[in-house]
Amino acid sequence: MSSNNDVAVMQQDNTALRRQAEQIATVAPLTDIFETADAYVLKLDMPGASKESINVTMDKDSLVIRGEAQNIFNQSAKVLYSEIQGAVYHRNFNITESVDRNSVDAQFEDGVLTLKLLKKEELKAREIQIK
Amino acid sequence: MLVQVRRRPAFGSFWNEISEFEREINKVFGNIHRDETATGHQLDRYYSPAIAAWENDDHTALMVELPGVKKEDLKLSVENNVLTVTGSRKRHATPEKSTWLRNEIRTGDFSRTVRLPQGVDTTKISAELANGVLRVVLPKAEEVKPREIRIN
Repeated sequence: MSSNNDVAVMQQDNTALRRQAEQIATVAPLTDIFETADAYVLKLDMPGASKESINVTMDKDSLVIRGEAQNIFNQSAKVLYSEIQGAVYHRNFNITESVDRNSVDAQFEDGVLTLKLLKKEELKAREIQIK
Repeated sequence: MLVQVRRRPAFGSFWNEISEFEREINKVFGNIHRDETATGHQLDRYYSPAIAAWENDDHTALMVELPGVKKEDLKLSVENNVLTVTGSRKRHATPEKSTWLRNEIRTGDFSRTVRLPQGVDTTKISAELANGVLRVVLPKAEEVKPREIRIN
């Protein structure tokens, strides 16, 4: 293969990479969920997102999480390699009757969003005293 | 274990070369695990965080996605022009009597190795961890920076 061809291949690769990097793909954040006696706790991986960009809404039957990571690829930079999908996070969860719609606690730390959804008072686990 | 690595043709960039190498390894391990168990990936010793790289005239930059990783659990080193990011991600602390309903997040040890391009001034590498993303700036040595040549 001639050296001219080699240069052509590299340029083509870069164009493809740039196109891929600039395309704003929506990513569903990986999520862990666990249930405690009085709440459901969700942990969502949202690396690169800013706290300000995160939006959590809850209605009758769903929980919607949105967020945005800063676009890392500016025009003046040449993209060499990218496995990072894009800059918009979005994920929906169905929620049951047992979740109290009025109290959600949200925290964002180290790129992980933690949501604590309290259970309705009457549905919380409680110990039953044996008389 | 013996892993056979196919050499790539010479025109590939260094990033591609490394990723091809990793794919090759992943493929080998992947096949073995698929034979044994459906959740084979959990048997891997390390997980590989996603990376991206770009460059301008001044520096090359590397970004590593590391959500949930604390600065003190992260190590970055350079040796023989190979940059290694290793560390571990702790599993979330869960109160007693809690039940897992969904577990998609991988925790434990991670490792990622990248061969650096020629001409990085390794004494001036800087790194910053913020919002679950590690950014490594690899300044170019003076002699590899593009410059205009004046025609007399």
